[in-house]
Amino acid sequence: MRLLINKKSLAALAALVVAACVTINVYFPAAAAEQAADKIITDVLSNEPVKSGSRGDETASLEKPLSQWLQAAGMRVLNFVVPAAHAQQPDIDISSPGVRRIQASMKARNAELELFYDSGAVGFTSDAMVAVRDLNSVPLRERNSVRQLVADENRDRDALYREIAIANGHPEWEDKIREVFARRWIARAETGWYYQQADGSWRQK
Amino acid sequence: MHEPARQWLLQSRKVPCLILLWALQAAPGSALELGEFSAATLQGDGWRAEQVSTQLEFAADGALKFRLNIARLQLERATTTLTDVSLVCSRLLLESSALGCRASRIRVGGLPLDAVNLQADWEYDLATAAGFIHLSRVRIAGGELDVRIRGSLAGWQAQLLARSLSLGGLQAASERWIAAPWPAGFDGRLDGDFTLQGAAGINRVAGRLRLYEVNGSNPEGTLAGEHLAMQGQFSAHRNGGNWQANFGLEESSGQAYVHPVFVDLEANPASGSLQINQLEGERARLDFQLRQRGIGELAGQIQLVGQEAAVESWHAHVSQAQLPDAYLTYLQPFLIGTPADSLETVGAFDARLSYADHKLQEARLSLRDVHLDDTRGRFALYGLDGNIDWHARDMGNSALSWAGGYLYNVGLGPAQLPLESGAGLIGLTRGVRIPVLDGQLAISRFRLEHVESTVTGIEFDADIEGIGLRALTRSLGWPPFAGSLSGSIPRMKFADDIITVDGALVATVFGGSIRLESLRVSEPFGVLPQVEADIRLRGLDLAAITSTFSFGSIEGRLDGDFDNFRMLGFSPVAFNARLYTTPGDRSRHRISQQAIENISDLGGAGAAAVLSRGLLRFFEAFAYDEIGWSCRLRDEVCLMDGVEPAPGNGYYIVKGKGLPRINVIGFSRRVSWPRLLEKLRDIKADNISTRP
Repeated sequence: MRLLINKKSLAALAALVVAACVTINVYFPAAAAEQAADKIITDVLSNEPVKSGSRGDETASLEKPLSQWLQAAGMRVLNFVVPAAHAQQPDIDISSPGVRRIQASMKARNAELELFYDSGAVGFTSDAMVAVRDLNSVPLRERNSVRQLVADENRDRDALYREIAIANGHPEWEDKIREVFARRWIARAETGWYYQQADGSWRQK
Repeated sequence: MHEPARQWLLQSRKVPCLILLWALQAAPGSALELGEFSAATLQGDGWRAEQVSTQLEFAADGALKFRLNIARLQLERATTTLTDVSLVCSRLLLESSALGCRASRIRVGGLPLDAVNLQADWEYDLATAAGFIHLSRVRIAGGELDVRIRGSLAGWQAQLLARSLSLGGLQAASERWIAAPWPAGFDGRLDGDFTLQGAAGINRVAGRLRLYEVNGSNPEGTLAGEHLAMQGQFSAHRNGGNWQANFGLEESSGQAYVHPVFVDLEANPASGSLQINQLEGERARLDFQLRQRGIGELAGQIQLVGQEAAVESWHAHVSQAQLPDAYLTYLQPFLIGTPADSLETVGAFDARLSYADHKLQEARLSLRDVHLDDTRGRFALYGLDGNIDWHARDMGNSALSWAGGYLYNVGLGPAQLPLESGAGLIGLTRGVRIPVLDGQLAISRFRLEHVESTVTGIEFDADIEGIGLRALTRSLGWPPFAGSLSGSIPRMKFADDIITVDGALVATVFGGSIRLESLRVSEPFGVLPQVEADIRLRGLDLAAITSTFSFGSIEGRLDGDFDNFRMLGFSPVAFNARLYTTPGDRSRHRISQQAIENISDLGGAGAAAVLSRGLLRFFEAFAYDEIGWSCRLRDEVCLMDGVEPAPGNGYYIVKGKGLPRINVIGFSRRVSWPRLLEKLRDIKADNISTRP
């Protein structure tokens, strides 16, 4: 019995020592963020109509028949025994309602903006925003609507990066997410579109 | 006229003298048959000519013909060396005191103008030292110029008649002389009729000017015109050592973009005037007045100082400004990126602004029946009237009233705001009541602090008085609730686009209380307004809630905690919520069959079926021990739980008591939040529609 107590306190001590030494770092999942950025950017830049139906359809339902519930329970057991491969890796969640709302808003604006990406009037900046690059290629009457489009898009983009960071429980990731997006917007830009280099100069893709 | 050109003209008065001297020398007494003179270099006061040759001969018709060639002519004050200067005079007038020529042809090379061949009449009176020169139909810059210059020792006068000169051509021509007064990249046509008068220099200029077909843009695209046309007159004269100039714009058409303002002069033609007074001690005063049809009038004065013409002070008065054109043309471009960048506007306003000592000193704005309606549906104010009187140093009294409005679909009633403003502050002078839906907001304190145009803080104390939940929930698109909301909003602050509340926002509702702690509203007018709070519900009377909410009747008291409650765009997106029977509640706990059915419906399959099939359906209501429901909302999925675990991996939502006893047990743990909300709305709708 004494031995047991000793063993216990020893184990507790060991646990304490281990706990004291281990600092838990949550690294920014750069690869996952890149995939997430690509998913959003591809969707925004494709002018396909917005898909109807929400995520809720696939993930959860209000009333589950017993058989379904059993199946779900079975899956849960299975998942417990055989953990899914991606569980090891931190993921970037882009399915929060906030993110999806901003994404839909950007997608709705894209058809209009794309004309100005094509003409070179608007380009992608190095900080994952858009900017008016060449006012001269815009008819006088439309210059302020382009400025408005750019301002609206940038408001959405700011909100998007912030919202992704918050939705993933790491508001401090906002700058990193923005960096990832900056690279991916440019990578996903079509040939002929303009993007800004680190030194501020514009370059045509 | 350009200074070097003027110098050239002045210097040129000496050229006839030279010719005459030569003529008198070359032909003393003998018959004037033929004379020739050439020199490698001739030099005089302010000029130097190289390879000069002249010829004088009698033509067959008896006229005296004169020819002068100068290979290079340098004028001290001119930047350009003239080359291949030739003057051919077919009929030289040579009288006792006068010298002249009709229909002489002058050719000048090396000038930056394309006018190298001129037709000129000229005459020079030796006795009075007066002369004139008339250059007719000078082809220049794609157009024609007619120049008449008359001069004497007392002074000179020049008349210029320009037809269809191209701005681009003039610019190219003038490049080597002075910078053109318009930016590169523009072309257009100019017609003009000017008179210049002077003695040693220019003393008076006057004329009319018409610019038309002006198109182009500067390289940055910040200044551009399309089919621009302007017509007006100008005059300038020297008063002692100082100039006074007047410009009058009579007509205008076309489109212009002066970053960031786009002006459509077809829709809103402009006219106006500008007076420039050069004052003693390197100062100048500009008085301007501009009228634009459909937009309003602007008048004011600018004081400039120093060689750089720095703005020392200005004041401007906008009168009869008409919305929406005044907003669309002159205000909206500066508001892009702010919540006020997409307004529908109607009404009229006047404004006065004055600036001195490097800052705005005074601003007055008076509004007349102004309607502002945000096209993104965030806010609206109708029937805005009143004036805002702002001074940099002391406080002025202002008053603002409106007939109604909206804040995110929440209706606002008429209100009158007595304000004081100035010295970095705008505030209410006394408490006001603003009707909100069927209740009101009693504001006891409002102060807005600012540094120049940046709002640095807003403080706000108010009480909510009897705002009906039915109207509020409907306005915000939430599941409908009855009851009314009263409470206080203490010390609301606004800074960095975030509204925070010191302490808790407490409201009484359904015989209990709602406390909003750590309330934080970020970007209230942004893309996705965010509301965060911890919400405490205490002792809500379920009977009061359910009596108007056709969910079915429940009696008892309810507590609730919504931790880390977060709304985006006024829809809840995340929270850890727990609703539970108030601990120690001794009131009657009853739940109706309908409420049981509805809860079962929400909580998962099971109980409802039992009810409708079994004997239990004959009972109207049941006693319960506890009600409890929790939801952890993330990504539109609600992870649900209840009072305590129930057999079969379920959880009790309603734990029955006594007999007949009924328990509501939930089995679904993951529930789609949007569907849950839909259900809640449906219950309401169904029950209303099926009831008589």
